[in-house]
Order: sequence, then structure tokens, then C-alpha cells
Amino acid sequence: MKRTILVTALVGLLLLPVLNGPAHAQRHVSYVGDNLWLGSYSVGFPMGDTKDYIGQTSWLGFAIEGRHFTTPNLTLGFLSGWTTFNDKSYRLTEEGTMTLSGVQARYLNIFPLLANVFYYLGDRDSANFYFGLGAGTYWIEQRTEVGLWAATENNWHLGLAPEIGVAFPRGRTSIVVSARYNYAFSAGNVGKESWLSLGIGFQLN
Amino acid sequence: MRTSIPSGERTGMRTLLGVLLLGLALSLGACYPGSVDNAAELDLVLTNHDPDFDFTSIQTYASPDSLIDIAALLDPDSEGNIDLTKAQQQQIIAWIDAELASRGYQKVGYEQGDPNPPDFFMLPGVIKSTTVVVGGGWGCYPYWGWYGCGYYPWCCSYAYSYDSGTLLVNLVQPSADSDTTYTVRWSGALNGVISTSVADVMARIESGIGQMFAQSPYLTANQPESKQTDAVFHTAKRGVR
Repeated sequence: MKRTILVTALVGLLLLPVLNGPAHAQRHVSYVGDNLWLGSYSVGFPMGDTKDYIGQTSWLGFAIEGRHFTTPNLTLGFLSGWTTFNDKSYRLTEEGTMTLSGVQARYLNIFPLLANVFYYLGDRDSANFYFGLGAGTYWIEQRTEVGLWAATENNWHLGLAPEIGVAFPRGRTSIVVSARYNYAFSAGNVGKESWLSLGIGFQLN
Repeated sequence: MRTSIPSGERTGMRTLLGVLLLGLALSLGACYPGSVDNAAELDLVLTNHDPDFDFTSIQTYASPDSLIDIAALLDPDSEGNIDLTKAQQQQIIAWIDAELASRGYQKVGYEQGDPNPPDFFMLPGVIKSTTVVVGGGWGCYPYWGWYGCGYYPWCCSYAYSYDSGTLLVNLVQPSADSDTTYTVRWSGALNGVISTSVADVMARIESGIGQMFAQSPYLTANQPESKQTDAVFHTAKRGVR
């Protein structure tokens, strides 16, 4: 219920500038050199090995982005943010002749630092789709707590993040809905991580 | 050229800032969500066994009538640190006996020097330790005989301590050629925070003992037909979220 209220409030907040936007939205054409600033809330769905470690959906994530048009349809930019996965459940672990049972709390705190390139389709005066790829690093803290003990792994992972999205313009602002697949290669003692981020954000054009 | 829309831009900036701040606040607050809700969630059960030992080859066992104070065992000069009453200790042993009986093992009387010792001994022991955590702000604490104060600039002031305890259950087998050497065939350990409620502690100990045996399906005397192949959760532990 709290999550529903939270998501509703966020969507309402994001739609506020659209509902209260300028009465006469004016044509806004993309030019080389334009910058886009985007803040978004995202829900994360763990996949692969990440899902094996934490099966729960992440309702806590945000990202900030800057994109710069180098051609009328192509942007170069960056992304950073924070996504947290967590799970707490009673688990039984067998290792050789030993068996350990107890409540395990598992956490993944993820900070992406990605450079990205996107290609925009169509006219920016109407809903316009984009697709592209991010590449860079993910700083990932993996923490497992059981009983009075905890094990933490902190690593920088190289990663890739293909993404598609659509921006709904309204004057000099846009609502952006996106889907980004995050893949972080193994690092240290931690294997590869992957998750899907579905985001809704607000963009300044 | 770009057309300026000042009012819309101001609204946009405010909203963008709001989204970022809200997202940041949510994420910061969620750094470690789902923390411990009660002391039982810190209970941990660990079991280990000799994989080459046939547990159906033993039938009878004996045990002391009170818990072994491991602290006193490790340091003969210490007074030990068992807080449990004699009745509570006997209750704990009774729970272990009930689990062993359900696996087909028979408890017998034994006096040291008895020419007919049981097949194995069940040795239950406990140890308690206190952990003190101090941090942040100003604090004055005794250090090795003197009293000093210090300022901890990085955080708010806090100080707390907790007692943790471990119940250790060993199944040991006397060596054929020695009266003083024993071989550990199975060990079970229950570790957790000792809460102020004795009833809560005893309930958790009972549940933990149940879990020790639930996750040791190979521990059975003569019931191969009912032998389970997979470790399982003790019923009382299921569904913890």
C-alpha cells in the first residue's frame, strides 16, 4: 500500500508541470548543442544471478542524466544514480558437512557511472523514441548479514546498459519513460549482476 | 533559436529538483532497509558432522544433568557466566533428549568408571559474551583503570551493549583405546542475542534445538526407512520476513 501511494505521488509530481504547463506550448526544435537534463525514479527487476541472490523487486532507485546533442538526433551524455535491492528471509545454507540456518538480510547498493550515446527518432515536438547504450562502471556493495555477522564486498564492476525510451514533450519539459537493462561484469569475489530498470522521469529540454 | 518560456522553466526546474531530492531522500533512507525486527532474527544455527560416521551404528547415550559452562572450562579461574537456573538448564537438556529420542537414541545412566559405557555422550555447553559499542559525540568512559573523555566528531553520540550467547551441543564417541579421548561426530551450535525476557530466550532455545535436528536428517539411530535426505527448516522458523 505504501508503495502504491509512493508511486502515485511520484507520478503526480512528475505530471505536475504538464498539467500546469504553459497554456501555449511552443514549437521546440532540436539543435546541435542542446543539452537535456533528466531526473528519474526507477523500479528495478533483478535478473540472472542477481535474482538468485535477491529475488525482490527494488522500489528504490533514481538516476540523474545529462545529454548533449552532437547531431540533430544523436546525444552523448552521462548517467549516475543509486539503486538498492534488499531481501530478508530465513535461509538454510549447506557447505560441505556444515549447515547454517538463520535469517539472512541481503543488500545490493549500486551506483552507476555511465557514459552513454542515444539516437532519437522523429520530431521532438511529439512523442519521440530513443535508443542507445551506456557503458562505464558500477560501484556495487554486496552485503550479507546473518545472525551477528556480516560479509561485505565492495567492487567496481565494468558494465553495459542498453536503453530504450520515449519522451513526451510539453513545452520545454518532457516526461520520459524508459527501460534500461543493466549488466555489470564480475569483479572481485562477486559474479556478474544484471537487472532491468523501468524509469519515469522529468526532463528539461 | 530557442524560445524562452520563463514560467515553465521555473516550474520545470522546481520539479526536476523535487524529483532529485525525493529520489535521493528515498534512496538514502533505504540504504539498509529491512533491518532486524526482533532478537530472534539474529539467531543462527550451525551444525556439522563427520560424513564418514554411520549414525545408525550407535544406540545409547549419556549426558550430564546440567549445562557445561564453557567459560569456566576454558579458564578454570573464572566463575563462569551461565545465567540460567538449574531448572532451565534441565529443561534445555530435556528438549535435546526429546529430539534424540525421536531419532531412536536411548538415554542411559552412566557413572564415571562404569565398565559398560554408552555408545556416545551428549555434551551440552553454553558460553556468553558481552559486546559494547560506543561511538560519536562526547563520551566519557573508563579505560584500563583511568577515566577519560573524548569527542567523536563523525556522528551522533551513542553507546550500547548486548549480550550474546551460544548453546553448543556435541555428540562425542569415546575412543576404543582411551578413556580420555573422544571423537566429535556431530556438533550443533545456536548463537544469538540474549534478550531481557527469559521466556523469550527459552522459547528461542527450544526452537533453535529443533532446528539443529531438523537440518541434520542423517542423525538417526535405526530408522533408515524414515531417513530424510534433505535438511529442512524447523516449523517454528518458517515464514520469517
